Amino acid sequence: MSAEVEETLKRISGHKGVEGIVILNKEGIAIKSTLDQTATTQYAGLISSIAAQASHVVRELDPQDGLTFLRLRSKKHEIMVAPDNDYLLVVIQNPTDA
Amino acid sequence: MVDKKKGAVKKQHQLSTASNASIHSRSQLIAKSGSRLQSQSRHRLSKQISGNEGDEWLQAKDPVKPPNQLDLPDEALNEEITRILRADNPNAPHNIVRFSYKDGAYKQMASVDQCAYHYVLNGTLIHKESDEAKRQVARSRFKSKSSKADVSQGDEGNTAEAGTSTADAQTGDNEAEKKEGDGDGEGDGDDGDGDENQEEEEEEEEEDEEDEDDAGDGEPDKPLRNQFNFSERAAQCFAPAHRDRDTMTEAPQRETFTANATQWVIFDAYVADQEKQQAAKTKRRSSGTKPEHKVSHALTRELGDDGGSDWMNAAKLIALSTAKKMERLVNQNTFHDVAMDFKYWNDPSDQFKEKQGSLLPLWRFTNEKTKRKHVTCVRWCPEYPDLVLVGYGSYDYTKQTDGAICAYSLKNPSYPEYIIPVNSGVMCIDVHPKQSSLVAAGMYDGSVAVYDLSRKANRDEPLVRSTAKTGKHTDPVWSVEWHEDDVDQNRNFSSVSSDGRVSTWTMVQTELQHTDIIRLSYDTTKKQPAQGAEPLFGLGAGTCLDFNQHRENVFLIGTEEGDVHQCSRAYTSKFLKTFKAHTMAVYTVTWNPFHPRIFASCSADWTLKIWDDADDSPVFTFDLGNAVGCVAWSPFSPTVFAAVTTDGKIHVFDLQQNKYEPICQQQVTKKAKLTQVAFNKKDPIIIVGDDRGASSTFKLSPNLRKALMDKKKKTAEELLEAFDRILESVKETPHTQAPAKTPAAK
Repeated sequence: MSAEVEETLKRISGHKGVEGIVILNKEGIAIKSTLDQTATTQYAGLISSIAAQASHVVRELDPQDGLTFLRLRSKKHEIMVAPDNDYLLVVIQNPTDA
Repeated sequence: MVDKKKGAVKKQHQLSTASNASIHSRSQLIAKSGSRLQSQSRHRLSKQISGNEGDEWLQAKDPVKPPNQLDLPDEALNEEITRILRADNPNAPHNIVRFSYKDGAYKQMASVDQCAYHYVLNGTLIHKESDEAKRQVARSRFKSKSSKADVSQGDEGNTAEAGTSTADAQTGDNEAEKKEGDGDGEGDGDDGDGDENQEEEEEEEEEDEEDEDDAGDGEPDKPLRNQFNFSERAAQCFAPAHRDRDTMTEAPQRETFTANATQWVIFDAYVADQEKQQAAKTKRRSSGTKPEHKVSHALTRELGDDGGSDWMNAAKLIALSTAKKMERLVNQNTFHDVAMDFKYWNDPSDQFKEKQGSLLPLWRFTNEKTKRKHVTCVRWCPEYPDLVLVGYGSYDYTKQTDGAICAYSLKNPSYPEYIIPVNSGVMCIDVHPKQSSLVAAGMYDGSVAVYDLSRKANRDEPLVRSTAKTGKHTDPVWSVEWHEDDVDQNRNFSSVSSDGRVSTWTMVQTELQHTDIIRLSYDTTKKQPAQGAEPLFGLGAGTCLDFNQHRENVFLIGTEEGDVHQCSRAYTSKFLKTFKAHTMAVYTVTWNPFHPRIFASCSADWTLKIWDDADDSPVFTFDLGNAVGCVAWSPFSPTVFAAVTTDGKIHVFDLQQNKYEPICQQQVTKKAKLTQVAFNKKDPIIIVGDDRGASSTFKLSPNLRKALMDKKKKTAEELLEAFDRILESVKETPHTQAPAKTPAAK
């Protein structure tokens, strides 16, 4: 199972336009990252808070609902956040590159 | 005023000689209960403060000291400090200012109250010589006289009257003054108090009068009373000492706790609680099975621990579904334009081209693992319209490879959702129409197998696979097809192989049982072979089969010899009908999904034929100029079908628009041979497979899907009627092979 996940993550990182993958834990601390130290720390702090806020919004509207995915499209990047049980999978992609 | 002060007995110890002490000098003859209480409580208080008495009931205890208290040595404690009594109050403030309305400014008070009372007791006795006493005596006399009306004691009464009058006369001025004084004294006291005093005074007077009577006249009708030890109203009893007992305790520890409770937090708490309760319930119910669970859990954990790479550890944290979801969305960005085309692009030139259409290439599914293999079968998943299953094997007799089954999703074109490697070439697959996770596959080695894609573990292993023991085919299996569940609710499917057997396989739990429906035999009676050309075995080789959706049990078998047999599962001994369809191997036979009698067949002899099973000859014959790998009917119109040829062309027909030629003929590959084609059930796209391991999807232009584009959607019956009319018109006119081209001409 985990081998399959590993393979999938590798494929994602090999995709066109993908600039980095970061895995954050519940506290917003980066566990794994393909980015450099400063960028990772910056992404970790900012993304975890917006993901928590987004999750809060969804749950507050309907407690039985839940956040499954969050996409942030900027001029330069698209930041995609997939919340897992206790972790956040963050992928930064440059869609114009693709 | 001064007189009155003299008359009042004051028990006041004053440090200063305050003149306004007259408040306490009320003229009372008998102690008031109020004042008594006051004095008692004061007495008690003083006792407590002194603490000499009643110490014995207190538990010896270390007093709780404030932490900043000075710790003095004994000498300091025993040191004598002299204090001097002074006439003024040292604690009295010296600088009181009051607002003077007269001057409109704050003024300092010149005189400050220096008086402090230590003990106050209101006296109740009056001096006998005082005015007050005289008046009381006079009044009592007057009263006693009036009460004893009959017994006249004239001079006494006169004297009393005279006494009173004289007293009145004497103290006329004083009286007025006294009243004023009273008023001053009770200035802030309430009137009720005044009344009470009045009443009490009267009572006292009565008693007084009695006493006088006793003393003076000695009247015999009145009982003698002890003047000194007599109390009519209340008895004075000893007040028990009031004791307070309290204990000092340690202050409880304090802690600050704050939390945010939102609606969903509460919801989660309830859900968690419910789960906990249910878990406890099930635990109680099945305590015996628990150890097994533990073992399996430990096993999986061990399996997970063997990862060495950096990503491996991270991968353990993230669920596979999350990673896949992320991959899909990354792909969505990458293939954004393709997705837009898929959804919205319609060839605008179709409006000007009558009866001509085009195909728009969309996604192309390839995979490293299946690059060199042939696509032998493509099937859309009936449950998920975006999922397509592709079987890989090899058609080449001399170059056989192992095979695979891949499931691609349109949402993730870059990588298959599932890859199931198979040790033999997969020649055909079919997805169960109800339970779409069940996939039946026929292999080149003659075995059939069923895979369950929904299994989490061991997905690569088949649920069941036929072996030599369980009657597998001895030649490649060319086609498999699922049936409805049988009477025992067992899954079952049929297969056809070039060993001439058509078998039905039934999944009974984990076993696969087979029954041969029919055995194809090489028909030697009709076809007299040339000398020495007699086949070795009396067997016919089946290459394809299709069951009719409308007529139960009826099915078609295509053979290597080019015949198409119509058979029924109900009569297994012989064919219902045999069509001399083609001169070479039949690659595909397929029933029209709308019309119960119409079917299409295609063959290596470059032809594609449409048949009515009531006629011996085909209704339509199309020569496509190359071996036709596959033909498929569209799910939206009975007149539309597509075929692929080995020269890499897709041919799309709509009999309603053109009975003689395809309305679209498009070269889609340069070198690869196209082998398979399938229509999506929901979207206007087709998928074609080639012999280079790639499968491509194409969107049908509006002219190719007229039935879908019509504003007024026709029902299936209307479409069928139109189809019937076309068939009739074709049958009436003497049949000619529409495209005059022959294979030779090409």
